[in-house]
Amino acid sequence: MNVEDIVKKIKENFEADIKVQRKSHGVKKIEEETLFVRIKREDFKKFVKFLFEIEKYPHFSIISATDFGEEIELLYHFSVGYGSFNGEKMISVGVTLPKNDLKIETITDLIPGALVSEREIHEMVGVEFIGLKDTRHMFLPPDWPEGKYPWRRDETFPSEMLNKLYETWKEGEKK
Amino acid sequence: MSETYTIPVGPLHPALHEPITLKLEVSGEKIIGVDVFCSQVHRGIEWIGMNRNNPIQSIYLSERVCGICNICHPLCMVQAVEKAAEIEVPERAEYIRTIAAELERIHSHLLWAGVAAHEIGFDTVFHYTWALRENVMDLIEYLTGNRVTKAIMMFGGVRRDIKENGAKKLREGMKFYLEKFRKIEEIFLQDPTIKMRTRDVGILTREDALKLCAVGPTTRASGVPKDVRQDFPYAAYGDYEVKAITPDIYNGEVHGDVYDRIVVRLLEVKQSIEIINWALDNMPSGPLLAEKNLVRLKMKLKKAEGEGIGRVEAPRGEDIHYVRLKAGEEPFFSWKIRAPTYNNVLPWIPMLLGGQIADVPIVAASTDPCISCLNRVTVVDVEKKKEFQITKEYMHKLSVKKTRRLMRNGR
Repeated sequence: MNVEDIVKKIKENFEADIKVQRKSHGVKKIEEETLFVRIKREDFKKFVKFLFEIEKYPHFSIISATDFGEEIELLYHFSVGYGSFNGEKMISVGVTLPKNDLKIETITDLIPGALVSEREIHEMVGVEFIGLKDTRHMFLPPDWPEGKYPWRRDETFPSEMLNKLYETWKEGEKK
Repeated sequence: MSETYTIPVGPLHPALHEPITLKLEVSGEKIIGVDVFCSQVHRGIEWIGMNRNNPIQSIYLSERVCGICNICHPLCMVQAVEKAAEIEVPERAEYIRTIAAELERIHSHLLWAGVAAHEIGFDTVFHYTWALRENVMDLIEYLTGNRVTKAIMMFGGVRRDIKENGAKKLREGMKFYLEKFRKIEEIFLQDPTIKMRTRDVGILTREDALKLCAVGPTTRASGVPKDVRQDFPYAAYGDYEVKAITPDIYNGEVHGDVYDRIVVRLLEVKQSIEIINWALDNMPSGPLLAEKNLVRLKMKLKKAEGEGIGRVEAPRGEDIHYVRLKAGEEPFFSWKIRAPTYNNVLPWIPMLLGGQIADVPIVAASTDPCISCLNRVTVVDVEKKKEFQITKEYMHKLSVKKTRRLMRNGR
């Protein structure tokens, strides 16, 4: 499916802000295409299901998070159309969440491979994934203080822990 | 026997000397449950890029994400920034980037082949492949000035040219590897013991590979023709038209096991040699950088507003960097690194389930995990409800014993 068809289909089904980014490479100037789609939180799960209409197994890469002060934007990076020369398209789906209500549905029921990324965003940014069963720490230690989120740009950032590597626990020492 | 144990493997990895913990639930010798723990070495690289460094400093920081993939991380990051700030890259620079990335693939796959041989107890093969690898390391040093952190990437191009002498050395190096390739193939793919240890061990089905979003040689060995160089060409790969390598190219069948992962990687070494030779023959002339003046470049990036995604096929699979720039702010407003091992950790679970403890090192190593990019594994015996610690050396010993046993009884 080409990008125009995907854009058309998204516009038919969703209220979305779509941006297509193109960049050419090499002597032959072969163009790669990336789609940035910003949608409402209510439509998010429906959008992920819509990706399954384009491809049987849409590839999920990662969730990236940006702190805008009052709100946090989660950008889910998907790609569809592997297996042919220059056939793959990146589709990045952005959802904005207000800081007082950081909740979004999990997609691990549809794409089990998203587990690591959801656990990471849960611990690093403090977003609650509704329906996510495994919410243990992935990258931070199990005794990490609650309510501290290293990737936020507000008071929840653990600034008191910066540059204190010498205070970390060593084997044989009491905590 | 009806009791089971929980065996923690790690925080040092059984296969690689890196910190990751596997919790394996075992009933006798059989693995019936797997859990993975990361979190020993999160270094907050993204945070530094978003709060402390200017973008040019972040190139050198991104090289230090991983000691092996120190071309693909900076390449991925500069591509993301080039898209966000709309910087055009000269054609010659794209060819040099391609050559640098392929040299990295050759050295990384040979390094992996050595580790895999060591895991099953063939230390002679391990030393042999690593000795072969020295040649490509020397080439890298000759071209970039460094064996490890190459510092060749820059926004809008590369920092060093490949001159006549370099091209001549590269051609000689590639000829050397083509000559040696047959021997490596014979050692790894035709040896009956290696085949016994790896055939139908650690199987990842095509379905699981797709569901768990596996990337790189791990997914290709399961028969999924997924390769960023083919699907989403960057640098000069679009001109070459790379074809994703799946094991059926070699012997017409896909098992999705450790053996297939060896096949894919070895064939990729050959493919990389071909790509480098092709790039040397077709390299266009022209400038290396879009903007030579670093102060002006820094100002341009400070004023730029936008977002971009860089995608690179690293030796281990798809690498993704997302960068967002905000006008007036020097550090990245947002930076997310997704190294390939990040997606290749979950596929360990179906690979290890039903297997034996002695197979853990080779199966885990078969995805070529890079923990500095990610981060631990623990084993559990359910029936006896006892926990005991086993060390990496003990696991390695088990693995070597199994090879010896097979060698005695197998033929």
